[in-house]
Amino acid sequence: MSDPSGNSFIPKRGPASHSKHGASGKRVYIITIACYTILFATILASGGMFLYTSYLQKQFNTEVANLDNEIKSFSVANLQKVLEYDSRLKQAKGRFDNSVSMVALFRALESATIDTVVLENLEIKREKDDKYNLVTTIGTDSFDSTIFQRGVYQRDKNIANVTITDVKTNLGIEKGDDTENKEANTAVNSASLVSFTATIDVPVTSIPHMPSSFVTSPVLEDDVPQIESEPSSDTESATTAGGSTNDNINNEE
Amino acid sequence: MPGKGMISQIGMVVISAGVIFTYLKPAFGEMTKIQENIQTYKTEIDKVVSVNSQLAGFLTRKESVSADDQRRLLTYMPDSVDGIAVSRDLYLIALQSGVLYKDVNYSGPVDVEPAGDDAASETLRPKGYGLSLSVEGTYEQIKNLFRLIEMNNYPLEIQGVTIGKLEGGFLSVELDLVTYSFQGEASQELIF
Repeated sequence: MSDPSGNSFIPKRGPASHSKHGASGKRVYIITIACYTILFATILASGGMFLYTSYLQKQFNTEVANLDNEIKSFSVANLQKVLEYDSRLKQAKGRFDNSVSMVALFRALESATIDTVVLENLEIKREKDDKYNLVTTIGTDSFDSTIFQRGVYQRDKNIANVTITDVKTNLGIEKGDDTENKEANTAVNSASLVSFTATIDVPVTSIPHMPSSFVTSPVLEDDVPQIESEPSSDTESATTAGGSTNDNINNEE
Repeated sequence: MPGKGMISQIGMVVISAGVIFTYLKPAFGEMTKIQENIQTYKTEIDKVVSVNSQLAGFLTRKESVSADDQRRLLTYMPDSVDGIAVSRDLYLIALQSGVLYKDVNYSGPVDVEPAGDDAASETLRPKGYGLSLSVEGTYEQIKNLFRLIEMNNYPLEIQGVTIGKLEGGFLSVELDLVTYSFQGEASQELIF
């Protein structure tokens, strides 16, 4: 007997697993797309990284060259000139700031010395840039003058410190001296019955040297013999007679 | 058994991972380093440019000083001291003041101590040279002598004075003076 299914117009179906094969027309391979994306992204990133790194390297080389040029443009000779000039100016300023007017010192001493005393001798010593130390032997006519003179020195604002030592008395003329000796002794003793040594400290700041004008060229008076000499590059003749020194003494008075 | 598609996908992932870890990651680190170096060099360039411009400014300021002022500075603080020239100047000052000139003696370099113990002042001290001057005269003539010494164009610093009485109202004066020269390396530049 023949198989009745072979004459059937109904097509034969395959096994159940094949029945779903054509149920959906398109399939999306997500993983495949992701893999391709990752691969292409990696390739692109590699290329971009290579180009950017090259660009950065060029930029770095440019900065190195710029730094090298800037360092080469620095002139050591110019630096030496500036440093030397600055040092010379500072040294000159240091001495100028500590310069002192001896005339002001003498005027201060004159203003602080009373009329009844006589300075027998005077020694002045500069102690660094701090002060001048004056040691003088003074003769007076009485102890009262001595005390008064000490007070005047102590009160003087230009004087930092005063010490009175070695007070001696000359008790006057003895009776029986001849006239000549008497007059001589009177001339000496009447002015110096009491003598003492005064040690006076005057700060440098009390007697600064402050010139009122700057002399532009040295001027010699006509009666001074002019000595012909070759111009010196180190120190020059600098005797001046035209300017005036503004002695800063008791300006506050 | 995995198909060809699966193998190719795995291969792509493996290659990508290999490129990332063997090239991209180190290249990224290198790029960061280069960027840091660039920034460092830019900072250093700015510093050098600043120093150069500062030096140029100082040089301009120095060259703007007039030749007369530069000459005065060189006179006030010379590179060296000529003992004979200074002795001559003191002789002329003594004559001009009216005192009786007795003697001048140049003793050469001396140590002049600065005020205080400031170590910084050591670098600013010029070199000192000692001289002594002996004169006789009246009190007014002596003061005139001091006045002229003060007005000198270079420092004649009086370190010591000894005044004694003579007959006839005259005074004998012994002066100890110090003059100075620049302490440091002088440049070869000529200043006019």
